Amino acid sequence: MTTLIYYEKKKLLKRKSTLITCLLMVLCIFAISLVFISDQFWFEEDGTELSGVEAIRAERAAIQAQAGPLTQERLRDTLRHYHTIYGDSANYNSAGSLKDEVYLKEIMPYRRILNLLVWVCVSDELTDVSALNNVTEEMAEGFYEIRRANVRGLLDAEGSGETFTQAEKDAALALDQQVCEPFTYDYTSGWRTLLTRGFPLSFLLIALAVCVIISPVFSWEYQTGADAVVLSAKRGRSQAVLAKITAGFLVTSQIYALGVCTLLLCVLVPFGTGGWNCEFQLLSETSFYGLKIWQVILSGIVINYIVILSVMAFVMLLSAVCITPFAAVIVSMFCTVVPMFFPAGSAGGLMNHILALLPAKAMETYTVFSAYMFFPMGKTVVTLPYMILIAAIALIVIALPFAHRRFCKHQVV
Amino acid sequence: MELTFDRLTKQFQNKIAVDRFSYTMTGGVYGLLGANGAGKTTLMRMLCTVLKPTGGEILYNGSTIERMGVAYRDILGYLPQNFGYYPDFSARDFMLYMASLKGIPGHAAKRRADELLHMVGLSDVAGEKVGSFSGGMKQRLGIAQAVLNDPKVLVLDEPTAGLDPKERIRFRNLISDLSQDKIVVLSTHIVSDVEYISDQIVMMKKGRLILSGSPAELTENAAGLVWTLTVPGSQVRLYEADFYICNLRHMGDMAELRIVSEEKPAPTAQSVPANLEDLFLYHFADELERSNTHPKGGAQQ
Repeated sequence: MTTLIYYEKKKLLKRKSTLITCLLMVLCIFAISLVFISDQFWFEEDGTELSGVEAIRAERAAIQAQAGPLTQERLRDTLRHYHTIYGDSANYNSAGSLKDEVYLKEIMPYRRILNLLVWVCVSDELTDVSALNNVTEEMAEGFYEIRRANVRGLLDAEGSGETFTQAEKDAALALDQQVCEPFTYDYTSGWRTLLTRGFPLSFLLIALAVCVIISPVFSWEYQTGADAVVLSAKRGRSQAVLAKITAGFLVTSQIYALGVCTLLLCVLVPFGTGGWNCEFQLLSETSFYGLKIWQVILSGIVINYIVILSVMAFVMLLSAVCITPFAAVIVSMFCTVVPMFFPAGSAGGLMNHILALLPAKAMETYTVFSAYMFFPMGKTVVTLPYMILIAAIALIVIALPFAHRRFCKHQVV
Repeated sequence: MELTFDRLTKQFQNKIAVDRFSYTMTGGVYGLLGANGAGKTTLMRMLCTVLKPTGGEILYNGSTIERMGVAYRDILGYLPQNFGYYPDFSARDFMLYMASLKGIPGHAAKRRADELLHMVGLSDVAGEKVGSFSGGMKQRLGIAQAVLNDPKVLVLDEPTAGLDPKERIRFRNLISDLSQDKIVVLSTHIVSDVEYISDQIVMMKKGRLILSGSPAELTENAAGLVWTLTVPGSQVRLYEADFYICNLRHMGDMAELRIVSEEKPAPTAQSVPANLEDLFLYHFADELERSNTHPKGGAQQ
């Protein structure tokens, strides 16, 4: 069996299309990462604009200088500082706006904390800190209560049209109870970039690479005419098929590891790993999962791995059915990519729930751990991350035996 | 050792590719002869369990091969018509992969692979990619993989197709060497491939068995069907219109014709002993006409 697996792996890895696909995947991830770095900007106190790696370093230094627990007192003091600066007419220029040098020195370093206050105390759709003009120090002190109230508000579907059952609300609130307070403040841009920008694109690229590389596993036997020889051999319908599936699993894992390592290196090397132990709520303030950023990242990597394996299983099924690898590639890529063009909330409730489980949406880890979506299964309420796992495992369990059977029953005509 | 075809039938939609084929094979080389589309490949695919019959069954030593399953495939060796290989594999890699598919353990597989690569004359190129091999080399690799497990039933489907005469002779000799204590079923539409090495010839036409016997028996039964005749070159067309001419040789103004016909084509025609090729042409003349390679004449339905 080991020999069979070795040669089945060799069949997949030796193809030119495999080499080209892996190279393209790595280059694309690298190129995407360069974009993430190049569009970073920061302003020094003297007004000098920095971009790229320099901006990252400067911002990281500025924020890490303030790293520590975001206590209620600290939030109140930050808001007070904001009000003081904006309340002093000496800080304004002749045009009536805050002087650049004042802004860069007194407001810019606290921008992330101020944004948090805006999102929690005013609205999560605003980015203009001037909204803090209506936020009182009492509200800043009550930051965490307001945040919990916001979560309750979302569950009560205030103004959103979504309705949740009492069981779903209870489940979410129980999870929200586990959110650590106060939050730990640190430089988290690297993780934010990874989750909000890196993960969605990169895992989609990995999925597409798997579609291309795994598609020949059965269909190439049909195309080359080797199916007659394989299926007439002693182990052609038993161990050989298991070897193909095992080889597919091993190759998929290798591609996944390559893609993830490339992404992590390309993003975390320039951005740094600071903020790994901060609460996820620093990135998504209304998320009710009591997880640290590193836990969300790890969960995302594990969940997405299972999702990628489900893509592999689906591709194998198509490979067993289609006459050529090309047909299997086209269909699998279509099925993988198309759901990403459905914007969130564009479809009805059930359709939204189904779309959320498909690979294109399921691998958007930030959205998965921020979304308010539940799946009732009898008396149990299953949250989205778990449901993605269940759906992916179900697809693997269904698709692989079908692929096995389909290949074994193949008739050479 | 006995292989029995019992009213074997295969139908594809409206076409019957194999029509109630019944025959029994014991040890030896069986040449399956027929024109293109006679049903040879379909028959062989059913024999190798990669195509399911519509009706009838195949039995090996009294048990249906379908029921035998793995046990039957363990004693089977198959070289299909369009032999599929993996271009990026070396010859040795391919042999070791096939050995693994056939359940031959590690060291034995290496030894057997090297032995067979040497036998088929590929040991010098064992490390090279199969994609760089010539047609003859690929076919030799194909026969090597087919006999890896020393099968009791060896099925070779058009093994010499596309090979030059030298390769074809080499191949025939190889098959003779490998055919001891086996049932070898060799299909072809090239008569000379089977004429010298087959113990029995089985002729198929439109999915049916039309004739079977040893080469000597078949040619003996065809006595009185083949004539030679020398005519002026200008009269050749007249004979082509009425008779099936299996050989034409111009000698200056005259032409020597070799005609297959149940009746004497001309008073001066001489009866000559038939060979297998004559018999093949006699039975398949109409099919060959349909494939637009020979003029009208010869055997009638």
